[in-house]
Amino acid sequence: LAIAVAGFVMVAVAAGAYLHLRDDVPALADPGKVPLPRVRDAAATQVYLKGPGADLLLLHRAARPLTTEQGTRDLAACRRVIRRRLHPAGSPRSLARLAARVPDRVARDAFASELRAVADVLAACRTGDGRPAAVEDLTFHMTVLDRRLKALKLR
Amino acid sequence: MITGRRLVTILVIVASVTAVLRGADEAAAARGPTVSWLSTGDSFAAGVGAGRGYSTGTELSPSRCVQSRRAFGPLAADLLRRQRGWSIPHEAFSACIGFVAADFFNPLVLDGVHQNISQRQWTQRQASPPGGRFDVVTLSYGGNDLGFSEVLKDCLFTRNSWEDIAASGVGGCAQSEDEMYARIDDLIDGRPFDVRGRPNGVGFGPGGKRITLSQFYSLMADELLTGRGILVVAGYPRLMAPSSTWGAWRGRSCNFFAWHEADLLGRAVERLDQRMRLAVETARSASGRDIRYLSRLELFDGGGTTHHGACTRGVEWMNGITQSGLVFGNGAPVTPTHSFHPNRLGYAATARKLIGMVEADFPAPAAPPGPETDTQPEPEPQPEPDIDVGPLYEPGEAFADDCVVAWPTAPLYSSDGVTLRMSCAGVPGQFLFTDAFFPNPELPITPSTGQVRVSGQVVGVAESGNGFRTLQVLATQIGEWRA
Repeated sequence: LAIAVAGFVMVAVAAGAYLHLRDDVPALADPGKVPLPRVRDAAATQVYLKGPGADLLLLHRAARPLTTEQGTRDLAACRRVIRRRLHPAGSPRSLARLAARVPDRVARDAFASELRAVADVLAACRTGDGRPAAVEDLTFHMTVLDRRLKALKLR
Repeated sequence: MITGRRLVTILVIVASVTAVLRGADEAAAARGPTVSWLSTGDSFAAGVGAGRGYSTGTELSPSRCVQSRRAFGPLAADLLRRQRGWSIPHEAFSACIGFVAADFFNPLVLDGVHQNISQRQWTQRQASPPGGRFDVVTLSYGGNDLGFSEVLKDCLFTRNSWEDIAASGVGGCAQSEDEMYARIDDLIDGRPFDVRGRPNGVGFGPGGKRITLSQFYSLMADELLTGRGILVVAGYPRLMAPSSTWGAWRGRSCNFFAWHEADLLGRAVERLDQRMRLAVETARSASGRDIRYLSRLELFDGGGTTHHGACTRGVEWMNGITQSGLVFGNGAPVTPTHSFHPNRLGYAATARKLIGMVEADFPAPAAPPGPETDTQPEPEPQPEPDIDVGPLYEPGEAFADDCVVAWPTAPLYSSDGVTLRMSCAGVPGQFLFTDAFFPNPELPITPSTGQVRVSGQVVGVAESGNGFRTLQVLATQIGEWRA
């Protein structure tokens, strides 16, 4: 009986903690449907992202496998993505610096958020903790950024 | 060749001559009171983040000390001169990026090099009011004493390789909430976390004497204020608006910060604001001096209804990550410079608040008595005009700017009028467009219409589903057409 009670209490606590966490985390809107504003001036951003900021586009393409189960199922899978795809784009800090200089304010924020989401997905590789939320974040930001890049005529 | 010492001498002479000339001009035109004014402190008092108009050449270090007259202290002084006729012949502006409270009474340490001048001595070189005392002293200290920029850097990217992130996590904010609170409590107790190159244990007082923050405020008031003087201590605003108020398009992160990290920093600023307010009250009671607290947290939170921190759905008074805002030092991760400081609007709003806090205490001098007459005419009451700090784009505010229609978005005609989506020269980039409604559908506007002057009133800020903002204006005049 004691074991059964203890087991019940543990399940109840775990469920409570899970529900608490779910309540706490803000929900995401549908990134494919939120209306995007008209681009004010695409030229400067085009020049930047085709020149000094080109690694950001490389990151944007390279990060796609991190939104899939196959790319993030364990640490070894994540390391493969890092080795084959993220390394050519650059280090986290160099990409952060590039993101901060994107002329288009919306694209700048979206690149910064994508970079942060990539880091969060990788951080979840080892234990799997928080991976669903991290992948959801990355998918969200990649979709917003896809749409912004299209509006900037960079896709 | 001009040596450093000669350069200092030349700068001091130029500054003195300018001050004398300015003082003479002001005395001639003045109709308000004559006061002396000091603005001192750290980057949040120096105007860092305010945009154009920086002066980087100071006698301390020509390339180091970034200052802007758009900072709240100098801006308030300038506005009182221009709009209230105040004469401020003795003005000093000794705020500088990176300064800590101990810098005021102790020799400065710049980039690790000990200087033979304190911030107080630098102040005195700029202005010498009678007795070396000022009528208005504004200051902002504490952020650097807490090592807050290091906390921010830690929250950004502490790891520089993807492998490290996969193996050990993002890093994130290295300081726990309790650790941040402990730093704040230590600051209040006079044990700053960051003493900027000084030996551990250096306090805020002269000779590095350890005193509490409230004693520091009392000492500043005792040493610097005239008998009628006011010391205004400015607190710190929330850097990022609470995540619950972010635009939906931002998801769960903004400016590299996860939502929970931004909220954690916000709670730390709330604690700092609460403790600084208390320190000011203690200083006022203990010293009997007029020491006041200007809560930028309260101001930028808009009373809890309209947040002005970075990432807000409303009008941002804080910079997020700026284009020039990330610099990599020697092995340092990411150094935000003008990032996460107030922008021009934030400093202007603070200046307006500051003016409201001090103006009534310095009435205009009584007019000299005129020739005696049998009946003295009653002076006509003159309504005081509001201080104009420039547009803050708040609802109800007057709007006037040069705009062009953002073709190919066609004007939207209705029976009541026409709505024009416009790009306006002075409207900050945080608004993608200005939507001007003109209550006359006959407005003759075509793609060949160039730049037009739009006058009217700000009626609000519209936000799209993903958080992008458009300024809403009710236009009473567009070009030569009046409503």
